[in-house]
Amino acid sequence: MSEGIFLPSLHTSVVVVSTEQDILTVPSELQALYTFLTEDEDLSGFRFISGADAVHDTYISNPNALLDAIFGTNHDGGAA
Amino acid sequence: MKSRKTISTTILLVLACFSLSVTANIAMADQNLSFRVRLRPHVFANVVSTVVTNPSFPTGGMTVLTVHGFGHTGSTFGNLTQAIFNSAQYRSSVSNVVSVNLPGHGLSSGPILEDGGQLKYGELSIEDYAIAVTETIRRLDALQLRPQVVIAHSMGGLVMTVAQQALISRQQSLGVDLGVQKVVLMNAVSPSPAPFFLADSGVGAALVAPFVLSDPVKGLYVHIPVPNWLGFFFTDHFGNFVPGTPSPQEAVSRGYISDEPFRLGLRLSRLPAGNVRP
Repeated sequence: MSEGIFLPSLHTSVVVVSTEQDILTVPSELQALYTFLTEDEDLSGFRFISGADAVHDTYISNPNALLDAIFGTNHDGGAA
Repeated sequence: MKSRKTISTTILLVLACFSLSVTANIAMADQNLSFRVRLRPHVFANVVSTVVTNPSFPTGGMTVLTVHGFGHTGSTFGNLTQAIFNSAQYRSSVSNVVSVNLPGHGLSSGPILEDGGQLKYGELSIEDYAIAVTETIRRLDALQLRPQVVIAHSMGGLVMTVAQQALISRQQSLGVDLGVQKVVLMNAVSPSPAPFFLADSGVGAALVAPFVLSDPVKGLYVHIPVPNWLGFFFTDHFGNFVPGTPSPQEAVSRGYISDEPFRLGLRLSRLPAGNVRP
């Protein structure tokens, strides 16, 4: 896999979401994933969802916790 | 007849090279869209997506496409879809949520072979999934349902990165050529060389290995029993199930759970001879 496959010049912004209690992925690797894909060292599109119920499948068990991360303003300034 | 089998390093030898080209036909029924997608030479799949339209904002908003994870189906996005449509802040932004079922999941078929085609269900790959999603986006565009946002969960995140890589290799991209403005990767599986603890530590192999089954028609596949499925995805660092965890009956009746091709288990967990992540 090549680095930077989601650079801004390719017109797709990326948000990477990490949840605190996920037992299958960890925040540090998802931060690394975000940087790997975007080369954005500022992590402006990385979203960490904290909470005792923030597990791997939070999108099923508590989807409201994810809406701002999904639809909030992204690093490129676009809301969508 | 099913029998539990030990993983063998020789299994990967049967995996074959394939092309990325796609052809398809469409049939629409109710809220499900079925696209016939060419995964490899002489190998097709009927890829079924469920379209849910926002009753309070049916037109004028964006279309969101969801891509599910390992052992999941498109049905798992039902709660998120309703949360979007019920959200005072976002319900006027989204008109449609389209949840794709990857090949062999939900209503989508496994490999359909034409003359000369050879592929068992258990040999489906992440590249096949990426083709299925890319082609689904193209077909949705033709139906005026082009997704501006893709929400991908876990393995679905890897599917999206593989899809983007494949497009770039053809001087295309999700953004420029397919109009995808934003990709949200929720707890995504990272492609190599980005770190992925579950695979790199060997823990993933240990988790998946007990659930590999063999079937003379399907080949090798991963079948995660319901209690284990819930445990993997809804427990916290202390092993506690969180509020909102579906009951086993709900997980089954809502169609959340799917088997997964063994090839995907290798790809995600780096089982022996499986160090072939993209």
